[in-house]
Amino acid sequence: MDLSRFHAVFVEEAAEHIENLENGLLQLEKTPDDSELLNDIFRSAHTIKGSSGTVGLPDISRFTHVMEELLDDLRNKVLTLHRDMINALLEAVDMIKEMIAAVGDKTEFEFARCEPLMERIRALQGRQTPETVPAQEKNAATANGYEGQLFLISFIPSPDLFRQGCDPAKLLDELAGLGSIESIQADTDAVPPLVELNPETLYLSWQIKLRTSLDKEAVQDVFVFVEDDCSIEITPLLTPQQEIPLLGKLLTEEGIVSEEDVRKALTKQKKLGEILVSQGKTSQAEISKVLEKQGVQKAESFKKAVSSSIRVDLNKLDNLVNLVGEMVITQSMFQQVMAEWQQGSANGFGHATERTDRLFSQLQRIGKDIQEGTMALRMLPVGEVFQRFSRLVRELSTSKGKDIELVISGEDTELDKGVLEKVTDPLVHLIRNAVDHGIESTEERTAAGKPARSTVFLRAYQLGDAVYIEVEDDGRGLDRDRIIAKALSNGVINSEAGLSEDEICNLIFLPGFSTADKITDISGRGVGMDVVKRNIEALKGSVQLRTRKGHGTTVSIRLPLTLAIIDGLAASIGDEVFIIPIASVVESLRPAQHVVHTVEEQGELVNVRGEYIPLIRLSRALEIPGKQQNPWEGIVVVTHYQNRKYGLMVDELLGEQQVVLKNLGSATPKVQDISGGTIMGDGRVALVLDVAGIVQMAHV
Amino acid sequence: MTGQLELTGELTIGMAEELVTTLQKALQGNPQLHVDLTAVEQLDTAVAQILVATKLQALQNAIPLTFSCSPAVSQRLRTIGIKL
Repeated sequence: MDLSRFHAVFVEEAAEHIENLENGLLQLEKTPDDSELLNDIFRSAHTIKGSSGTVGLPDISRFTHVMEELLDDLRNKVLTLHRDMINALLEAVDMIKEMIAAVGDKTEFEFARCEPLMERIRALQGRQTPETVPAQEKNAATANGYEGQLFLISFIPSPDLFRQGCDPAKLLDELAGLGSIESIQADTDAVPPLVELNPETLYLSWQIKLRTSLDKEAVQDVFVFVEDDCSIEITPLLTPQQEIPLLGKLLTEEGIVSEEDVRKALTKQKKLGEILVSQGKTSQAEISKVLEKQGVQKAESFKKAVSSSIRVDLNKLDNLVNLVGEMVITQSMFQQVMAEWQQGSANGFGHATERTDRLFSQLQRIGKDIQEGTMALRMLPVGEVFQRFSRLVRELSTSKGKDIELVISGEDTELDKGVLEKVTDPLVHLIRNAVDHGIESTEERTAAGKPARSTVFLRAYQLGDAVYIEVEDDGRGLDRDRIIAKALSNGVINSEAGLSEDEICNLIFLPGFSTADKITDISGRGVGMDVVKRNIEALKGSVQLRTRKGHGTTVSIRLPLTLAIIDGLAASIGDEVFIIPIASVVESLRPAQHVVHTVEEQGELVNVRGEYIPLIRLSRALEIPGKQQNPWEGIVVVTHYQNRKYGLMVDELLGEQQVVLKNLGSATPKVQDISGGTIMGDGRVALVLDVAGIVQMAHV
Repeated sequence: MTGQLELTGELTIGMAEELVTTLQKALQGNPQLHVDLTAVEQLDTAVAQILVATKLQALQNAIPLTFSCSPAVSQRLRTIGIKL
């Protein structure tokens, strides 16, 4: 049985538990006495351990085991929670993520990399053990070392095991993977002579001595699929062996140092980075930078490993299946009507028409429900992404020495999976901005009479056909004067006259704009808000910023519910029909001849109520013969892109309609001015225009 | 005269019935039997169990039975704790 085919499922399942672990740990730091929460965290760790073991990933299992031990001690109140533990456990979560990402990518993960962290976690467990604990007891406590505990396993399988498609050899192999098998003995007494043998009945049973660093439960986990009808007894045998590296053991044996010294020295073992820093080979800052970079890579790799599939609420799926069932029924009813019709049924023509009408409207309703249900499959609660930010804020606030709480609301708001994935990076940026620039230092806050603990709100809600995500901080707010000064010096604006407060604030979304005086490692390199805005606009969304000096800043992102269905304006050029997304349309008009101006070598402009708007003739941009040669005979659709307006000239408007945006497929090369295609009501294919692409191609 | 029975390839539960018949015939037709497993690439627990049953049968019929194993077979028998 090739266990690797279960890896994809494992990766997906583990992702959920990892998330649970991570969020749980962050929560636990706030409420250390919540034993229910601790249990929950423990269960997640335990599940990862168990399932990684069963799908043949012993490294993950071994590593998680160490985590689980610490959690177990916390759970049993042997240890009290300490910030160092949370840190170590969070690092361990990252490590597991990396290991799982390696599984997803089918790459090798070097287990040795886990050792220092495992040591640290073990040290944390040992550190608070009072010195007064008798040596004997201590031996037992640390007996789960690499040398391991010896278990006597009695495995009497069900006679039907073969019929269940299970070969006990696989279980035994798996057991061997947990440690070393010291002895294995198959009991063949029950096997009958060949003439009486039923080859599909299992007569054998086993006695195994296994030495492993894992605990009894991990051993038990091997049998998880068969334990219901097999008899399995696992008895730990006493071997008070301690985990001490070879050198330490030799030194102790020679009487040079005592065991105690070795163990103490082990707990003092530093991380590689710390050693290098203390030797002056590198600086802490450089190490943090490298680690941070590694962290990002890790996170991305992990994301990649889990993002190719989607978990769907069973109710949604059931609902859809029901609808399909209804559709099938309606179809067969249709068929019957058609048959009656053909036979010239006595019921008459009118009756059949009426029934057809009724069936048709029924089909229409089902079709619409199926459409909505299918779209709903792609919807995910934003909470999945939001939870990750707790960790981000925790780490940023620690590194900045600020006391910041992240308050999350509206986790259940759903967003298209594609949108959700793409909105994560901009959100990270906004939150970093809020923590870094928005929130003042603790001293500054106290001086301003604000509570020392600052709050960053992250909320999501749905309003109409859009989802709003807001990042709000209670920090210093944007400095209007500094924005203006910066904008003037950058040449972004020529004077502040005529700019509203809002317009001034939104200047920071322009490329190359950053008001931070000093560039920090978190944010402030001037590539920021413009990228955020661009990313959000690529999702057909918009960004807005509100700020009050001294009271904080709110950045509000508006996103369409889904990318797949858009409101479009159908327009014709020549014989072709194109769809212009309504989101980028301001108005459409037929200009009078005298408002269309030609500027030498600059193209054409349309004067719309005193505003000069560049005119792009779509027939020229798309190189298809148009019916109308003059703007005053056609229609100009005024669109906006990056705060500027552009007039797109088309022959005729056909009306507004919802269209399902479809990919052009991988066979077509990436076309800049087309974002996809759709099928119109009359069966014709229409291309959906990408306004941004057209503007860029037209060079206006 | 010693009967020779050579088994090859992958021996799994899928061919268990067939194997039982073959071994039974081999045991009936020979005063002593040697089962050559040196060309066997893989063997599962079900087949190992058949070999155990064969040995028992040979004992009952008083037929000397010997095996020669490929490394793969020896390895598998060792990991499931069976000595032939």
